[in-house]
Amino acid sequence: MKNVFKRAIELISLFNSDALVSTDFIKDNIKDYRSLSEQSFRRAFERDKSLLKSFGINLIYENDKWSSDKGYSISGNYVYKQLIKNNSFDLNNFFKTFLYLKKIYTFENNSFFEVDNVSQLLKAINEKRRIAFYYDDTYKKVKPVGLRLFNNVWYLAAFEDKALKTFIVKNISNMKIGNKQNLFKEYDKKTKFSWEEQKNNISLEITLPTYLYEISKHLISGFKTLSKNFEEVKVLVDTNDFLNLYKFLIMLNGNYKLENIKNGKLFIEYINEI
Amino acid sequence: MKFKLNLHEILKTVQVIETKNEWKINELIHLLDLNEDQLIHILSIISDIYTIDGSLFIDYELDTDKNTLKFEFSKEASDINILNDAELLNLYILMSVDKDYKNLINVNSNVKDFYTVLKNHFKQFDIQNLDLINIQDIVFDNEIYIEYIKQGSTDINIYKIKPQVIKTNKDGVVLVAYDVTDKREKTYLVNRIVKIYQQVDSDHFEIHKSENYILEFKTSNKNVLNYLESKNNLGNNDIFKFKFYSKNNALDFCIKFIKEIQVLSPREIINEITERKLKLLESLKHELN
Repeated sequence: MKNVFKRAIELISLFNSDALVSTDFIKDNIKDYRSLSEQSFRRAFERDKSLLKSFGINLIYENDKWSSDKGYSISGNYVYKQLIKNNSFDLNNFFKTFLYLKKIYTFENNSFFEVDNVSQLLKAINEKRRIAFYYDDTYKKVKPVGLRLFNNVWYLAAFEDKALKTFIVKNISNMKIGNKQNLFKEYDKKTKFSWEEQKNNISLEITLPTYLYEISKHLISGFKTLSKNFEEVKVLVDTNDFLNLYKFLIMLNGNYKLENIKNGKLFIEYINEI
Repeated sequence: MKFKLNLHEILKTVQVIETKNEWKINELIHLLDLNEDQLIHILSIISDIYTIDGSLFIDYELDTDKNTLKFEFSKEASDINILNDAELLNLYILMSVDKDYKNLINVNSNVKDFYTVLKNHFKQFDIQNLDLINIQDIVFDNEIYIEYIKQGSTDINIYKIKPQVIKTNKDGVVLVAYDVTDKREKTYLVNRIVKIYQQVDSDHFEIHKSENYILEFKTSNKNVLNYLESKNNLGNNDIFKFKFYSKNNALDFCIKFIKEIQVLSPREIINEITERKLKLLESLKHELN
């Protein structure tokens, strides 16, 4: 393991400028890689890249068709770089506070709320840059406006042409960020996701045991609490997310009472089709 | 505190020591939360690294009389930084949802400034749906009692556990803990913990034994297969046969992917889901009439 750590640090050290680093340069300058065949080098390099990624450091291959440069850049420190740009900021103090906070809480590094491509998304959203990526094998060019964590899944809200669409971040691959900043205005409203659109909604009141509500309320958005005590809770659900509402009710296994249903026939038709 | 040497610990050590050239050993080990042997072990690794121009990444000299360490750093060592966006996002989320962190933000001005910076950068990250109300009641290093509802079930069971670490897996935020009664490590979904007690009247609990459960199904959806560990597939790529920890886990999986899979066996799972579906349809129809 000692050699793996050494190699990982040597690898990071190659990226101390903004210039792209070619694969040949990496192979020539890491002692452990030099003696390897091309195939073995690729395997070892991919393993080391994965190790770095698990600690939040991404090596990204840049292959811009408009540029003659090709090679790897290092990503993962967008916030830190922004802080360095702001000279008046006390970075040492920030770092000490970071260490203090890490000491008082137990969680495994980066394993908590992992977002794929977090640095690139953060940069693109904050600097209002366009991004391009593959999504379920379709090439997309979008203007990203926000991310939402829902039921343990990160969703990206982005404008594709003029339509606001929702993408599951995990299913995004080969993401590239555009060169131009400030391409669009900051999205000042709370980002609307597709399931919040008010069309063909079902609305119903559900009474269920409080403990069951507490453990399953994250499964669906759009709950409004009507009354609540230690024993039971009454909530109003107004949603077009039929699938998650169905899963929510199925999981409750009959431990509920339904009232004041609007658009119930649509929901029944939906359930019968599953 | 358990010490697990990983890349993060090494990079953290580099970033801490490069803030000044001379350190008292006691000061350094306190700041890094290490003991002397662990520090020397890390130093032996990083002092064996060379930069591309052939100079040492970090060189150090131990003064045994003064009990100090003197360092010389390369430019590359000075650039090392562990404050990566993924770590910062984790802290931002915890500070936003956990009551203890919220208290810290109020009483410690450095923590408040730290949080303000993160909030500004992650302002377009919406985490309102995340609810970790129980995290602040989990005491690490002590035994506690939890009321917990297993996945796929609606019944409450009580467990006596010793919490170890919080992390996420495919199902959400989980508490990894040692089940004192069952004498083994288990994983509990934080949002399915109903209550946490430091003490209870009776200390005698049943062991909640679960038997492995084989589920047979068809699917063409790759997300379903990504969710499961392929090593547990006992079938082929046409009909999948997965081993689950318990019947409840299998049932939870079937509901989670209710549209994406076609369950072939066991019959009791198919019947259970059909019964729940009929019960729901009946309630809807009854209310509509």
